Amino acid sequence: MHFPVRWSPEWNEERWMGQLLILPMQLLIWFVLIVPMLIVIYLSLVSWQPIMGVDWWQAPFAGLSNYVQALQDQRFLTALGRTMGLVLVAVSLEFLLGLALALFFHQEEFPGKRIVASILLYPMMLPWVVVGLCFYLLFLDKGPVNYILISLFGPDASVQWYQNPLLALMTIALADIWQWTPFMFLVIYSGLGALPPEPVEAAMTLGASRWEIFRYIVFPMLKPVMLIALIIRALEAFKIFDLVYIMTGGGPGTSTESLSLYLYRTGFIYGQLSYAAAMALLVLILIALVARLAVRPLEREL
Amino acid sequence: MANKKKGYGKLTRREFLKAAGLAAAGGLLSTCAPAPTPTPRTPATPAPGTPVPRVEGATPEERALNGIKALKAAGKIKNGDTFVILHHSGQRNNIVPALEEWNRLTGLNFVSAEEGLEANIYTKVMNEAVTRTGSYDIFLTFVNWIADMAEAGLIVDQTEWWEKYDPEVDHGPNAYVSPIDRFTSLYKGRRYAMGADNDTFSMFYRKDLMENPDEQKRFEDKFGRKLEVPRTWEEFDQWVAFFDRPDQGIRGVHMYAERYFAYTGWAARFISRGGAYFDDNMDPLITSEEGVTALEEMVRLIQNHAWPDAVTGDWSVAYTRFPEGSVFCAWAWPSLGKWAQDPKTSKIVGKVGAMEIPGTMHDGELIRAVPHVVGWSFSISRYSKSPEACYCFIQWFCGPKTGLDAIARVGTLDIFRQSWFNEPKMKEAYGADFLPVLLANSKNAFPDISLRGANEYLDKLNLHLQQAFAGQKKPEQALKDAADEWQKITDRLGRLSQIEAWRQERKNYPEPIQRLWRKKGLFKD
Repeated sequence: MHFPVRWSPEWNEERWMGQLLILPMQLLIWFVLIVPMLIVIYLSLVSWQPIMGVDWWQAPFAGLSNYVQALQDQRFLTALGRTMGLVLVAVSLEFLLGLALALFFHQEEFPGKRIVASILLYPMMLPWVVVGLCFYLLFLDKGPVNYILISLFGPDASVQWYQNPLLALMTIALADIWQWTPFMFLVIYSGLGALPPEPVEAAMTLGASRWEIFRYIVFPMLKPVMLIALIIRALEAFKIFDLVYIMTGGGPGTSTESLSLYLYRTGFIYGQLSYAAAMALLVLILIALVARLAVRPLEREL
Repeated sequence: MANKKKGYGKLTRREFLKAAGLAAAGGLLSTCAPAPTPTPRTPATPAPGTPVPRVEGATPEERALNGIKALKAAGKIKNGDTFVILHHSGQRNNIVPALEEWNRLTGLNFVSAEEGLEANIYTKVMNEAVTRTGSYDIFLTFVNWIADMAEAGLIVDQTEWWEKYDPEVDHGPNAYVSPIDRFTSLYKGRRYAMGADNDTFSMFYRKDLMENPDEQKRFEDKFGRKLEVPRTWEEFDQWVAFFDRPDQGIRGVHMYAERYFAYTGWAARFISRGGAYFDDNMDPLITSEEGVTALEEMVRLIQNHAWPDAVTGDWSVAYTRFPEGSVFCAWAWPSLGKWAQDPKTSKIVGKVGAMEIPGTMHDGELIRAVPHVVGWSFSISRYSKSPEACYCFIQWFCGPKTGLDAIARVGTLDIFRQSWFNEPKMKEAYGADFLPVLLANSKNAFPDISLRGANEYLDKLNLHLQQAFAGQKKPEQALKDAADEWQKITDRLGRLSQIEAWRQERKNYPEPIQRLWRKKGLFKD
């Protein structure tokens, strides 16, 4: 057995006291971070549901079977693919719209610009649940969107948004884009404001076009900020739950079910906590890998 | 130094780690076989002992109060002791005034802990089963969670207290409507809960259209019979098709075909045809001819005569569609009748009729199977400071007199004792015309799947049924997929235990259905 700290002359009373003072916080961090993580890992390696009638620490060891089951679970893999697709589409559009808005606000001056910029940020401040409910109502069969469509194109123009899996997914993506484009706008607009003006002024003096200035000067300087915004937003969007839960419940069938919703159902509705733990850990590994790859260019920049 | 390291156990550290890693990986890989099923502990059941002495008292309420006095006298509880009841916020009006009265009568301190989302109650209950904090003494939960709670070791078996205090649930003039008395309380033949609700579905329709002479003539011309409330599902489908008027903004029917209650309409037809969810060995029977035909009929009905939100909406759609007058008929819980008759929520006040749920003819006998969807039952935590005091409360609350007052108040708990169907208070609350219909439907009520893992069985069924309703799957395929999923759940939870539970659960179905099963030779017993 090794004692983690060796006594040395440097370990004077002052240092011991320092260690002692941070000990409660260390223990707290262990308790709230490490212990739950260890329990999740343990659960993923056993076969246990509360309704099985045995205590979790007495559950039979299941090895990697929960992981194997997850990798063969079509619903899990489809939810994973669907969530990644949703993230790709929604976050890309949020980024492009946010960038366009940020450039517009950065370059143009118009009366009430500050007020408009503030209003643009409001969606981001709304709870997910509120946004989900609003968009759910918007796209109901008798909702405002269909009302407008019918007014413009006649009674046959009504669309069953939630019955068609693709359209249902689209309404969720739209809600996400509406809510989170302001985040992209905010981050990129702040980034633009922080850029040094000299390179741009020099380029303008040399006769560079707006596109050339953006392509060769602004974009490279803004890249780290944009990457951070994309990573944060993508990680957040990957966990999408509320919008799906409220707008479609994952339906029809499982055609709009996100990964988080499936994990929730498995863990808390079906009570398969071991299996949900294994899936959650697989997702964690995947996200960690993706995040690592995404951060790499940023590290090169910095 | 290097030599010393190399000589240590004749392995370098790298070699040792490599070997250990390989061994660990090999060990883990060898466990990739399907997870074993643990041996469950037996749910909390007291050992059978000598006959329990009955508590004195003329009524269930009186006996419950005497029970509290005895517990106090024995020093098991004392004035001011606090007991917490976890329940849904929709029951506040039913429960809170009763709690105040109970506390006044007993000197105890029973308090309410509300939860707004039904699904969260399940989560809290299961958390309690794991953490055993004793935070809640009484749970008012969905009826079909009783099995999960019992198997998780969370709730106590009340059977002996039923004998001791006699809640008059299954006998006498105050009995619950049978078979609700059975399936709201029994699991594996023992009383783990006490029903506090009646969630039997009823069908509501537009009485004004039915009474219209022009409609009556047109119907008679078309079908060669009088326009009457349909008795069979076949008649019902014609009736709905006849009144389906999309050009006038009225569709024929709203029946749930969505993610959470899609099974209701299908199950009513399936079971009235003589179908059962499982056979003796817990092999699913839903892919039988009865199951497939029932689903084909329902898919036709929903796709041709219902608004699309029957598939995409939730339970509340019935509560907007029918009262606003955009469907000819709809089925739901008893409260839909109240909504449709309330000028604040309805445009069709005075135009509403209620009817018995149709059935299927079998050799001249009409077999009706009416879904009892969800329903609420009281159960008691094993970790309560005095489970018996909790039992006394629930007996008092569900008693013939106290319960009458509590249930007549607006809330999500509905009438369940047979004698109450003649009470003026209830006639006022529900409408005198509706109560006989609800009583008739209640007598034909069958339970949700109430086995251990009921949530999962029902969710997987709903998932595939909704796909059939949305046109994503053929009915036969949807049922086959659901059956495959059910097999996996049964195997995971332990088939033998589920077989025993299902054998008992079948006895909670209405007698005519059990008779039909016997006639068809569906089960060995």
